Amino acid sequence: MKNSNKYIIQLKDDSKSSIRKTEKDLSIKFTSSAELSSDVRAQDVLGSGNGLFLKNLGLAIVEDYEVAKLHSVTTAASNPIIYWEEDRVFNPVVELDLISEMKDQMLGLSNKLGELEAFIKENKKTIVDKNFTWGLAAIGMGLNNFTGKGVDICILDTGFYAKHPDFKDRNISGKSFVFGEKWDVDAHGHGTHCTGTAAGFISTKDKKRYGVASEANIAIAKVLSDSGSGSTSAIIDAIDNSLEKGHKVLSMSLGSPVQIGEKPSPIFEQVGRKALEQNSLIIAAAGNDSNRPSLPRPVSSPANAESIMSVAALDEALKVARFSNGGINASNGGLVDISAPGVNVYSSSSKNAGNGDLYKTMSGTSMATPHVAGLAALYWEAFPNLSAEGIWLKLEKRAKQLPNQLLRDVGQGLAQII
Amino acid sequence: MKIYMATLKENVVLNAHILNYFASMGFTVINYHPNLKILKLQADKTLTEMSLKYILSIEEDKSFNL
Repeated sequence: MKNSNKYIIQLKDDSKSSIRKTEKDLSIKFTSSAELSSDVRAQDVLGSGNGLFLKNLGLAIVEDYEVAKLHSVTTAASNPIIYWEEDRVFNPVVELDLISEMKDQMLGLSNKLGELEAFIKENKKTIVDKNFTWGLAAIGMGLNNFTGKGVDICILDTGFYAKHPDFKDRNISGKSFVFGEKWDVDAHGHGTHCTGTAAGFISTKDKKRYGVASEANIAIAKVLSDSGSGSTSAIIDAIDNSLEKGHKVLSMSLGSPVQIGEKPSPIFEQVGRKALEQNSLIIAAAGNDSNRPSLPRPVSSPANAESIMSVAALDEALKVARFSNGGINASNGGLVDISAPGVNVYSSSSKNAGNGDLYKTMSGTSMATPHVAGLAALYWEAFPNLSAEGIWLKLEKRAKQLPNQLLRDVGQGLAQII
Repeated sequence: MKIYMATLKENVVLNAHILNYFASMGFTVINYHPNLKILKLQADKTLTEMSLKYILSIEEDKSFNL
């Protein structure tokens, strides 16, 4: 069968004898590529009975040759042809590769866009909640994906303004331990502010994010009157009730000043220990009795009990707040364990208090404490099998060390998200 | 009349005998938190006037503020 295609032939060498032998076997006359010029081109010499020998490559090209004869010649023992193949059509490889690569990239990009779309849908809250208070930014909320969902936080304070619009869909329960005053009124505002920091979310007024554990269950224990005072017995009642209900985090932004050298109350030491045994963590404010730098005062009761986590306040420069108490009575317990933002803290407030604003900026270790309480809820969501002591240790271990600040004043440092 | 908070010793069970003892000392038990082993007591006496058995510590109910 006549084949009109070209064939590429490889000779064992480019010696004259090999070329002559091939010409003879194939009954063909080779023109050397050395004889080609602009006037004599390769296609001019190829044709019936004529081939081209590519001198520099040791290859020959023949056209319109019988395949069967080529086969028979190459099987002879003295044959100088070591290989041949039919001329093939080659496409512009680079362009095809480029198109193929572009297709792959488009597919990859499409997949990445799909992943990004899914990520945004999944993390919509995190993406839109970047307008944080300075306190939330300082504890690292911008990198957080936990909400405290399913964790019960009990706020022992002046109560809570239950009609606050930011909390209308929240799971909130409460009880008053102050005679004649309801838990859901909060004519003081302090409790609503602390609750907002620990477990609120975003201000409906200016879209600012001020709450840490935005999906935690909120329990309110009114232990301080609308004038802001309470008693040991009311606090003990409330803690007992809270432990009975299995609340995991108890936040107490309250205190009673102690003297230098005064020992912690054995009552609260026992309460804190019993709470830990029942897998609940009590977090309390270190107190605001200091006038720094000249007059630091010791950590207040009940925060000075070793079994209760004590929280100091930091200002926006991440330095201990002027009023924040320190570990002056360290030999009797009374240490600061950790610190959190406590100056110019923006949060929810009660319409029944003061000028009736729904939001307020306040300062105090009272404001630092709920930051840590909210974080504890996030930690518990992240590590549900950890004990209360385990959560305490993790909070301390992950706290950010503060340069030029004393352990006595800031404890293990600024509490941080997981 | 004063209000006191006291921690009960770990191995003590608050039974009628113990309640009678506190009463004989001029203390009325007005609340008990078994979960915490803490008693709330009421008395006319001051702490310097006497000592009580069955308790680890006792302190007067005090005020807490913001």
